[in-house]
Amino acid sequence: MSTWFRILIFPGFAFLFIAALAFEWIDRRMIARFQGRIGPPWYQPLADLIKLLAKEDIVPEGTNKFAAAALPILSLTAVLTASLYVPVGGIKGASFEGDLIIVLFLLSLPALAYFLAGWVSSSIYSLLGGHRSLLQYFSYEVPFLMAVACPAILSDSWSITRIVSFQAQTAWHALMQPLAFVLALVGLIGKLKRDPLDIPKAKSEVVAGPLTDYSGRKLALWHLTMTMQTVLGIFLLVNLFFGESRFFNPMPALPIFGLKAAAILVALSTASALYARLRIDQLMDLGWRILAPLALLQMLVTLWIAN
Amino acid sequence: MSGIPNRDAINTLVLRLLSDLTAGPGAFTHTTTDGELVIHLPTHALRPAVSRLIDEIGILHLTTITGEDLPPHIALRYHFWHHYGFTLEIELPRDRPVVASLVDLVPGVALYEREVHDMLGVLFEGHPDLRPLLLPDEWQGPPPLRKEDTHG
Amino acid sequence: MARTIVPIGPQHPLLKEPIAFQIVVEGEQVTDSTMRMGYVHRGIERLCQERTYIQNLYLLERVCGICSHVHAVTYCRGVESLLGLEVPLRATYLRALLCELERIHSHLLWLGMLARNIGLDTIFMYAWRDREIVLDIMEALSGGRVSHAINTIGGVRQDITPMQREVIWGQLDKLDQQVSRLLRVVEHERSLQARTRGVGHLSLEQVRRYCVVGPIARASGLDVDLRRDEPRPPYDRLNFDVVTHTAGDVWARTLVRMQETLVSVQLCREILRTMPDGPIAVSARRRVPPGEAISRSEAPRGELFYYIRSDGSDRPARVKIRTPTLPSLLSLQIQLKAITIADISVILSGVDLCIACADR
Repeated sequence: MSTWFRILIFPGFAFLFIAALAFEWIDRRMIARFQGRIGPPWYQPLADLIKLLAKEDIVPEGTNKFAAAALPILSLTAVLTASLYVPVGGIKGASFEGDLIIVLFLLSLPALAYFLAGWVSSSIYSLLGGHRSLLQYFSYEVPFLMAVACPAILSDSWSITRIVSFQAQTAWHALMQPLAFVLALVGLIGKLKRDPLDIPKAKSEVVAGPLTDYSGRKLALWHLTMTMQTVLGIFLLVNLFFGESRFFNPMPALPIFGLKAAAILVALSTASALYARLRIDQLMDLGWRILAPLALLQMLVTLWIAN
Repeated sequence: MSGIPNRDAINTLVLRLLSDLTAGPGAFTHTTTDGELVIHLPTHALRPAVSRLIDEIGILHLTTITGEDLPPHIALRYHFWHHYGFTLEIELPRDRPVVASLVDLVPGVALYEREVHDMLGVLFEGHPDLRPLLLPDEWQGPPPLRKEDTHG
Repeated sequence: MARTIVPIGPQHPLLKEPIAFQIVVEGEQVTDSTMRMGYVHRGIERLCQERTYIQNLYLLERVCGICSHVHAVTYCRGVESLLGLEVPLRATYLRALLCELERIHSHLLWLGMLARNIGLDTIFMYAWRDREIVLDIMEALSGGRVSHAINTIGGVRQDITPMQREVIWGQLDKLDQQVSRLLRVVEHERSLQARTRGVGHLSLEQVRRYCVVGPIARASGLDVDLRRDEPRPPYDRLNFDVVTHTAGDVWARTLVRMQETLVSVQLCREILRTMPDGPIAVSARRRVPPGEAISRSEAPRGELFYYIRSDGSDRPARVKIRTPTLPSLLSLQIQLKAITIADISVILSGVDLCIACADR
């Protein structure tokens, strides 16, 4: 496959875009079923995006116009760049030793941009939301990084492709290091700011957090970034924890990959439907008193096994 | 349900506790159509009466203050509840409606005094915050529950 | 972070009616708050003086959307007292049936709003779905889901047929099942407890000094319920428990309201079962003899108080309404201190505000 095809179509941007819409639909539908509702039709996420693009783009007085326009583009760019290094069903974009670190770095940029979006906005709700998003970032990022490093340590490689093929010779990392998987999942909920960790944009507290004043195209770009980040985060977890397996490879790789990704999405949707939102101090408590020590424990165990 | 006194017992108790205050001039009692006790007191006797009741009975439940413009007076009715309802009523001169606030004795009275101030223009001395409660900040006219207000 | 003022209202996703709070925060800590109400003040007490007694009935039903029936009932009782009317027993049973249904409706609505405001949309959806059962029953009884217009001075305007009775009985069974299940879920839901335990604490003494009423007072241990304390037909012939708790926080209020809902379902059943036959209204004169009447009811949010003075004409000289939300608003002064921003939504949901009631 030519490089341009891989970047732009599959497993690149176009595929990511369609996957983002599909995942959002599955998520909303699942949560609706949990709540005794039916849920939106399949074209709803696309319709919402088109509607947002068509809406008036207002930038209130006092907001830094340049920053407000640049930040969503920056976030989207970071997510799209990270997608180049995340293999989908064995088909990889680019890869090199150390690409896991690049992906993790790129995926943390949207969180910073989200905070800045609140900082440059003139609304008190945006400022509060941004403040909370930073506190949340520090609470989940450390356990998440530690948890995600465990498969790398065990596989003796920082390349996602090698981690996947390592699992083909041994077993899924989710089975070998289940604690790491659970911690990575919780960290992902925090990273994606999903219920119960949607504290920075809690509607009943800070209206919409950092994005309160955004509308139209900018909001559409932010929304797209969030949904694509969801897809990419799930794909990353599938690669790291449910990579190829020598025991279980009946179908061609791509549909199996899709099933694994869908399974993780179901877990995320279930968590969203079942729990109330945490308070920020409860999250910080959870992150530092429980998640981080557990992640440390898992890392020590992994290091010991690896030697 | 034993141990709860009947209405006559409560009325007797209240009247007994306030007997010296109701003995003075300007004090009398009557009952509402359904038999609730209403004790009219001179304005200066209101605070001592409430204070006496709280000392003897304990914390009092005040339901609300009804204000009514009855020229040449403004009547204020303080509706209390202790197993049964009873009311203390005072009359204020219309052109100078001033009375001592009860907010230090019964903190729950805060919003009711503000509302009477808003609607009838009564001044409650000692109330920490008599800002408008229900009327908008830009309200220009006279207090709405006063009879002189003939808008619409 | 420096001292800032976070405005909650008059428009805010947290509030369903307009009221303004200015919350002073430092970082995530709330240090002070002020409140401004009156955005929905319609001058109803003044309007009452310019309408006849029967016209006022329709006006006063519209003081509040959720507790419209209990407003009408309390007003009617006051006027009936002035007229010296004895309302037929069957009418009191029908009025009580709707009062209890309204209580169930109000508490289920409140549970949904609390759940929504803490991010637990699932319970919001379940509670409001179960609320539909109550709304269907009320529609069968009166023709309206929320606004009933079923009272008249002297009784009620519409009777219940035996077939309606059968249908409603079946729906009450279903409601009992659903609400019991909801209560079990709420009791065991740890994330809900984590957000509501210890939040918005009011001690028994604070409740009494600030004259707080209703489920909030009962959640702090004050054993007061006008249905039992001011016994009138039909409540003097019905057996029911008054639910109290001692914790005094939003969690206790949740439990009190949910358990009260179950008690109300039981009451509805008992009312249907023991309703006597007879007329549903007596006729009432237009002109009301001079006098004063005070009537109180246990509305879903607490003590509802009406004072009516008549001067002998066909219009009241003074109608004074004290709704239970007013002392709840006052209690917020105590609760909105030394908390975090996240607790604001829990506390404001926990006091079950009905601003239309408070502003009149």
